[in-house]
Amino acid sequence: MLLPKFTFHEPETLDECLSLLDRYGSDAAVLAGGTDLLVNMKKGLIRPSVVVSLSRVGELQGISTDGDSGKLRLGSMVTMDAIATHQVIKKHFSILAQGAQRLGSPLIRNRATIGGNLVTARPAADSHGPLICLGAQIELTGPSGSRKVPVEDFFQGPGTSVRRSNEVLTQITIDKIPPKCGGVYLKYGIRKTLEISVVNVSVLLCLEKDKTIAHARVALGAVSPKTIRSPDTERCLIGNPPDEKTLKKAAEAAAARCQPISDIRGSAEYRQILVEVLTRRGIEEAARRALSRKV
Amino acid sequence: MAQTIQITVNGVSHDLLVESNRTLAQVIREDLGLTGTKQGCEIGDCGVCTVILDGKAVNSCLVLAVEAAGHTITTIEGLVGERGLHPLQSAFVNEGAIQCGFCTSGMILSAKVLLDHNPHPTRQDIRQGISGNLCRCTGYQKIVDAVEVAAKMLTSEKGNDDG
Ligand SMILES: Cc1cc2nc3c(=O)[nH]c(=O)nc-3n(C[C@H](O)[C@H](O)[C@H](O)COP(=O)(O)OP(=O)(O)OC[C@H]3O[C@@H](n4cnc5c(N)ncnc54)[C@H](O)[C@@H]3O)c2cc1C
Ligand code: FES
Ligand code: FES
Repeated sequence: MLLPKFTFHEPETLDECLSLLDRYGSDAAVLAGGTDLLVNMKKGLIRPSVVVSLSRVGELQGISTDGDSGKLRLGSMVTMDAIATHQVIKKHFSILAQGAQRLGSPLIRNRATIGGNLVTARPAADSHGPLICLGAQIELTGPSGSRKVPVEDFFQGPGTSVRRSNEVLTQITIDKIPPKCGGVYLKYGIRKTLEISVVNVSVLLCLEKDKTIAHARVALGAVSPKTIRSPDTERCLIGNPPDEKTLKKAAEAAAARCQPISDIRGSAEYRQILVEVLTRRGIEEAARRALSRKV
Repeated sequence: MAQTIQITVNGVSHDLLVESNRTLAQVIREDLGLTGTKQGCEIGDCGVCTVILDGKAVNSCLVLAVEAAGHTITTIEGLVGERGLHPLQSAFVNEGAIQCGFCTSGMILSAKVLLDHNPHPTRQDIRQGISGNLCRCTGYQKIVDAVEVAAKMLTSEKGNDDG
């Protein structure tokens, strides 16, 4: 499988990169880890005449946490392996590490970046639910400056986002999670590795001292044109303890929220049942983690 | 568009003129003649093209050769040392972990990176470490056995060296 011909650019600064994108417009493709882009180019689905690699742009690298606020910053070129194995992320933003750990295979995770996983905007992608639960902000930088978009508003549908063709996704920022919160990412597939989700469910809960749920975010993947939140599920949870009655109502609300399609990975009916089962399990596990303070 | 790149493969520095649309897998096989690196699916699914790039195992079918400029690569050919086969290589031979052999170089390189970071892996750790590498012949049991044996050989070797 050969790649079509293209001109290759490897800018070393963000400014240089932005001026290349501005110059070549929609003829140019941005290359991060290449695990989507090069596959699509090999399959002949896209044929950019110019490829602009981000791998030498220093500004897009690195994971850092702000000492005082505890805010997490991820450069868009950070790999899924780096996220899955990062000690601070595993401890304080574990739901994101769990998602990253389930993506592709160890080989793919060493190349696949968080920026690429967002811009590629697949409805089944493994970082979207965790980032939605964490309320992540996405920074897009274009020739006229930067703008911030909440991750929930970033996706438009399969393969499309609000990113303009002359913009680079530069970084992702996540505010610190309060204590007594627990997060869990559940991915259902036929195999454990090298598998695209049939359904995935992300749950983040924060508990009060008396164990009632103070804050809840629930995101459903692979059941809509993009990963979605389930506000009805969240409403069922907030103000209640995670008991049997609440669990049942919350899980039913999640199943009602999604509009899955039938495809090679599973039928719509099957997906709807999976959403109910996984949401229930996710809430139980997130509550357990909240009590043992694992975000 | 052709471009000159410098890459270090198995400790040897090479200056090469490559077209931007050629993958690292193609250049390793066709320009350097190192055909231990295989090409199968060519889209990241099978792992037969695995090489170690700056200490990380990657699918060389999804890396452009021009992106590898200035970086360090180890292929299966680079594992043979002064004392002959690497313990992983001899364990694969002795444990019967090779049938057709098409997956073997990739399996061994993924296993090498695993053992570099985790010298005492459980069988589950091994399965996870090689989970990006498909084998259509062995059913994996003997591959996992071989990695376990190699891990023991490597840790006892290290113990001897230290002592
Ligand atoms: C074998 C295999 C298994 C996979 N399994 C999974 C899986 O289990 N779960 C999953 O979610 N995905 C999976 N994927 C898809 C892919 O690995 C991920 O989506 C990955 O995160 C993409 O990142 P990348 O850096 O490789 O992106 P690239 O391929 O480099 O880019 C993807 C797209 O985003 C654009 N882009 C990338 N970075 C930026 C940026 N900073 N600014 C603007 N545009 C940008 C590119 O132009 C391109 O359109 C798999 C892929 C393969 C080949
Ligand atoms: S040839 Fe590279 S993963 Fe199959
Ligand atoms: S030995 Fe034949 S594919 Fe593994």
